[in-house]
Amino acid sequence: MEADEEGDLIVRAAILAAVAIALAGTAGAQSVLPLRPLTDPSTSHSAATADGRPGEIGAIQYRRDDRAVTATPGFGEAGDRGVSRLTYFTPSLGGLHLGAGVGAVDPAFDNAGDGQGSSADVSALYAQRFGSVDLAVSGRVGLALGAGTDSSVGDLYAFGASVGFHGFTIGGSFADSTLGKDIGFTAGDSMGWDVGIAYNTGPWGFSLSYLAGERVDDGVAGGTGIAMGDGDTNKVVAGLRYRLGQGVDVGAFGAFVDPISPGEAEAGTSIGSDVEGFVIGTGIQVDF
Amino acid sequence: MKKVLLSTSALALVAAYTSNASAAEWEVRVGGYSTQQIGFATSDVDGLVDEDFDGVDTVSDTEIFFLPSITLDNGIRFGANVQLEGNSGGDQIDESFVFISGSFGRILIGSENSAGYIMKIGAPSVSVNGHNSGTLTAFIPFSGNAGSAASGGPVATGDDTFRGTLYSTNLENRRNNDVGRITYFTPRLVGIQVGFSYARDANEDNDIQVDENNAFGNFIDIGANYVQSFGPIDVAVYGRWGITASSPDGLDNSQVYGVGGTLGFAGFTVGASFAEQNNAGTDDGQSFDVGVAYETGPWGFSFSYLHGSNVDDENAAFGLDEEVDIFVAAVNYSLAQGVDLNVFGAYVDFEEDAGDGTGFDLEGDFVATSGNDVDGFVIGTGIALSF
Repeated sequence: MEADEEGDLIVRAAILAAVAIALAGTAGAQSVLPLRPLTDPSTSHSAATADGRPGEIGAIQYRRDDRAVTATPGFGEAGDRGVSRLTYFTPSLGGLHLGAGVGAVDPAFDNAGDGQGSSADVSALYAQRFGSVDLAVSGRVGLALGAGTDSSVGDLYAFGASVGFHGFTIGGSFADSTLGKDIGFTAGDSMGWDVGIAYNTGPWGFSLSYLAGERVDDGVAGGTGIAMGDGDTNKVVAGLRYRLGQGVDVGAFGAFVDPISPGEAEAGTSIGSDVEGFVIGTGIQVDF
Repeated sequence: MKKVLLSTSALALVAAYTSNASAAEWEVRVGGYSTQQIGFATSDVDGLVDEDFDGVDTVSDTEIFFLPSITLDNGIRFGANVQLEGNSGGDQIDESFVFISGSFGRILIGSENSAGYIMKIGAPSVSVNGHNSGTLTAFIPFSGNAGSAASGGPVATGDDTFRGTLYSTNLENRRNNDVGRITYFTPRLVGIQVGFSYARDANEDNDIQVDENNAFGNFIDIGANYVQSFGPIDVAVYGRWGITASSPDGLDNSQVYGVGGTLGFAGFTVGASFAEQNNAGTDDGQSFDVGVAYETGPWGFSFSYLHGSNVDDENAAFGLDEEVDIFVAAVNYSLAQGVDLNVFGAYVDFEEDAGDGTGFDLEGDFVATSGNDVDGFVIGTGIALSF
């Protein structure tokens, strides 16, 4: 693989990381897309997901997919991919849900192989209807504790909100992940935010969403204690959905992805490996 | 396929949906098959010393299908098909796609074989272990490396048995198998059905956007078959063609062809097929099969033969090939719907132009070693459940 191609992948991974982090906001921007065309499990070593599904109870529902926050080893929070976990959700307390969980270190990221390390999360979601207005607000904090050879700390926090009325929903979210800050790791640190608006009427749904994400570029981070380059991106996605029947949605989408600023020089090159692209597509989703 | 509802989650899902006022309801079925074989095999591999591949062995092949579907009020049917391998392997879920079917035909989107593969018709067989795309390699080591260091091995035997011409006429272009693709089948009109498939790249189970610059890609496959009965005679024929619409500079597009047919009369079925792969490097080759089967009541009998030839991967640089002849005789007894007992016997004769170590010596002279040929025989029983 040529260096530029590798850089492209890394930047792309950074983009996707930001997408995933922002999507993870528990009550964030709304989308009617039947598909998530910008997620890419092939970048699992460095792309991100942080927590559960927008709008769901609590925030500690880790997806069992391949998108982990980082390849930085040894952090339960960082590389968490459906590891053994104990989670508790409270009942709804006047619309307020609380959740808390503790988990083990993901063996895939246990660099020392000593099985030591843990993670903890707390989250809150408030969802309530006031007349014809639906309101949802959520927040979460996660902490990863390395142990033994990998002794270090990482944290993650996110918050989001949405308001719905007369078929319209507007929302936004923010998420930030910091890894190994006490020993100077920077590769994998990331943050993202999104805003969006959706309109649903009968079988039709329309949405327009925007996401900005930033992530320390593994390709130029240079290892422990050296922060050199960042990858950042913005993206706009417009989508429509039509519900053909119960659990059968068809849709169309258009998306534009673009770096916010020119990328910094990749390791071994004099240029950043920026990626911009456009996609239009259709999709079908069946839920059963 | 027996329509079996999942006993727990599916019923719960159906119950949940039926609470809504809608004529259309989801049905989540589970189906699949399980085949277990017990056979005695004996094999000889040239190039090994005192090798021992003989004895009684078992072969297991199981898949579970998850089949949710719904028919909308307008008559169009939507559903998904996810096929889970019952034994651990590299491709744990192979086929996984959504389908849409109606009077307009049928559309498949997702991980599935091409139209040309799906529409294939060839030699009949009632064997639980087929002469064509079967699992005889599990009893007789004519695929991949055979032998251990204790026997002076391993040695490289046959290549490209799966979706390739050495053990199949069920080809896929460049052996791409269940890649992400879009397929459309027309309705069957006067016995004729046509299918079209497109896949941008040969990736299965990942969505990496492949750089098609200077690469084989844009797989197009077209298949057609004709199935008709003329009084007591049943006729079925098929043809297929597939091509990569793009290829590296200076190389021709990879192409795959196939034809086949069967003729049935009074319980007898005779059939044959032919397939060829071109411009695909070490995947290139040809294969054909012929067979006859007779079925009466619960009993079935068949005798089938396949000949496959293929570029010998380890000696491809010298333009050398390998080939195989496979004979399979089988008797099947159907105890009940989806419950079959089977007895089969198979003989495999694999030969290659030259064996491992072929090449140029220190004087620059070409030296071809003896081929790592494989002869093997297996007789076995099996039980096949399909549900």
